[in-house]
Amino acid sequence: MTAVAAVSVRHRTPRAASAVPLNAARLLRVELRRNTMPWILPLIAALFWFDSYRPSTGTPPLYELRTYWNMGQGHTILDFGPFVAGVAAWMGSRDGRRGLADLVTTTVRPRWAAQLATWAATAIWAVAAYLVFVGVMFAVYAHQGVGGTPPWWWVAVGGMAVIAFSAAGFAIGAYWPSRFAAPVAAFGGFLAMFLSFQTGFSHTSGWALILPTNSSGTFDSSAQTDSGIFYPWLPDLPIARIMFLAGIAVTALGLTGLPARAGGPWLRRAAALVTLAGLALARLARRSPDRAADRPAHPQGPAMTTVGLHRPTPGSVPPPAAGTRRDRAAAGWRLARLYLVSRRVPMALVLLAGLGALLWAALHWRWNIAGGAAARQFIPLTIQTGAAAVIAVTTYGPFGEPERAAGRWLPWLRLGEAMALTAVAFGALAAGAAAGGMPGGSFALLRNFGGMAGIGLLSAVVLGGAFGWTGPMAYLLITEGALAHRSATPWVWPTRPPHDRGGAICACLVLAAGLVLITVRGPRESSREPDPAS
Amino acid sequence: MNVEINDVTRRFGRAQAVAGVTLETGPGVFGLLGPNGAGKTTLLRMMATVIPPSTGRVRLLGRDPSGYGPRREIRRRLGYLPQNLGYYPGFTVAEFVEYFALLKEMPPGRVPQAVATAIERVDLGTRARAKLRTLSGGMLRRAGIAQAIVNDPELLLLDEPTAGLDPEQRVAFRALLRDLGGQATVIVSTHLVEDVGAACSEVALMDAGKIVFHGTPGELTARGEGSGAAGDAPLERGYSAVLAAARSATAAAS
Repeated sequence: MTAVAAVSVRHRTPRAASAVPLNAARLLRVELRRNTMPWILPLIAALFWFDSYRPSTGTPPLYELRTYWNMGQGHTILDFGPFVAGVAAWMGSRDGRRGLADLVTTTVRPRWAAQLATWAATAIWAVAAYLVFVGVMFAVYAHQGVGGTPPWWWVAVGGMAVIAFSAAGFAIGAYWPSRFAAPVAAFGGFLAMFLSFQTGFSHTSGWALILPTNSSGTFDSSAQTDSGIFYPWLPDLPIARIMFLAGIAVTALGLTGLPARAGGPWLRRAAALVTLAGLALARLARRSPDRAADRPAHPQGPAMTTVGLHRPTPGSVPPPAAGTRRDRAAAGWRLARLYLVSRRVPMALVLLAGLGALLWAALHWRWNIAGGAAARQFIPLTIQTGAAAVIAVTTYGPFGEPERAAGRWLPWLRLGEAMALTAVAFGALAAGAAAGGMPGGSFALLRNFGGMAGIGLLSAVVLGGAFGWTGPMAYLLITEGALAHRSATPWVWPTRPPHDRGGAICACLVLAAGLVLITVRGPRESSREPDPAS
Repeated sequence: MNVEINDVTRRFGRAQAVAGVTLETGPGVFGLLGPNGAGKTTLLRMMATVIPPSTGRVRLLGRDPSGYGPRREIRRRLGYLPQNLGYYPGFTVAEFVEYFALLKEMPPGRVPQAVATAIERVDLGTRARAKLRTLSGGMLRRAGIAQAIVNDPELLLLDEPTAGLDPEQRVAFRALLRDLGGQATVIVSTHLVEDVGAACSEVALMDAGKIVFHGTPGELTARGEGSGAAGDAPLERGYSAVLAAARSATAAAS
């Protein structure tokens, strides 16, 4: 007792007030250094050059005309949004995929805060890249002597759109830590943007007007009537769009704080409040352009021109049997079933069936983009590309080296899976096309989808199965630009007529190359520990 | 000799993981000891035919694994448990083991019994129908061992097999190792010298990509006697003494 009384009690050293922001900054630094987003930026840069900068160079040297396609019609957002949403979903699903949720939950810092640091790093990379790419584009324009003023308001809209895509993708990944989260976020975001074009043509006020890729209302049409080319940039609509996008971002981030593991009750209540505030902000945004309704109506905005095992008790285990043909067939079927289940093929089948139904709905209810025959291809093409992305992300497995060091069947299983899923996806899409009005008919569907599937398989070989969706997405954006500008190389086969031999040969070559390489080499595997739960 | 490795090196970019290893071993349990980063896992991965050596010659079960046909024959007779086991959490224990049995081209009629036996040998018989996501870390490790031994391998490579096992399971596992080592070559990479002392007939100690000791556990123990090296057990003192001698020799040479 005496000894205990003699020992002085050591109180915990109070934490310095500056330690919290310092630790948060360090956490953010770690997340910035270990983020996946920088790896996808070269691909986005190439697409940005191809889809946003290159088409503008043929226009007269005025900012209003040079930025008509890439800023006014939101193509810079199209080039960034899907990839940012996909990578953010990948980052958001990290804790779930890697089994880190318990580890992060038990730290002093709330899990929501840690998730927000991960999201912030992802968004910082994406927004910084967006601003750099647009800044370089404007610098090149300035060097070329382009006259007028850069459309800064639309840069702000684009930056906020990138933030909103990253937040929405992150929330999808956090709630659904699956290999399919990234492609679903990317293609879902892309399809939502394209459907918003159509909505914008049908309705030119309210919600439709504030969709960021809706070019209706982007320019002052009364001035357009007067001058023909000198469109003033309107600040009220961009402000409303920024509010709307910020609302989406805040809502998505608030949603990630709602689960029980996100933090204490107060923090979760705060997350709920943040979610409601985000919804309110998005809803408030709708009113802003309405209040500015003294602006002349624009019934037709500038057209978006494209588109059992039992426990072995003695006597109960059957004696070893010689391998009859029937036994071998049964074993082969069993191996194939286990292989397919380990690659999440059942979920892929559900998604493919869903894409078939989506195609049926798009054709039945004519979800078209204004702009003619080429534009009508675009929503079906997006759905086909989504199916190719689903096939690409089912190529990788969770087992790693023990599987590679076990026998010779793995290449044949990969080939069988790729061919079977391609056939099933084609069947689902063909069933969806039965609604009628499929541009190009079944032959174009077969050609376009087959080639896209080949690109997905090639992406899986080069980038790894988890990022197999990026190849089809990049090709879709290239196709979109080619359809808009009516360039028709056979390597962009969707732009060619349905019975064009060159396009069919190119699509077949790409599919064949994808099948051969996925069979022989398999998807690229990283040397790190495999994901048990993806 | 089931394993013949002659002056093998392996580089990853500028880092040299294995720097000229020569090793021969036949049936029995062979312990591969060494500190973190010594090159044990890289050597094991080369023996598992997962990565080729940068230079040098490897022969496994009398075959050269650089050719497709011989490599296929080796893989039929190989069991491998990596340090980080990947698994699909929706599989049951039985499905997980059966998947590898089928991949290893076991005769179809033998698969059910082989799977049952492997699961019994790691004492997971009562959990055979349990999903992997419901298992504890130690049970997952035992499921990994079951997939490695399901084909009665002639060459069994185990990287940290006892990590996460409770003391009772570790004792049982050592007995299993001794049993397997009766016919097959079992190579166990581990940090735990007591596993080596209890189960291995031969031991090699690696440091900085090289083998700095090769002998029996008794010989390793003898190296520590009177050396004053740190360690709570005789084998640990031998381990420390050999490592200290190897490092001082390297320092003197450089």
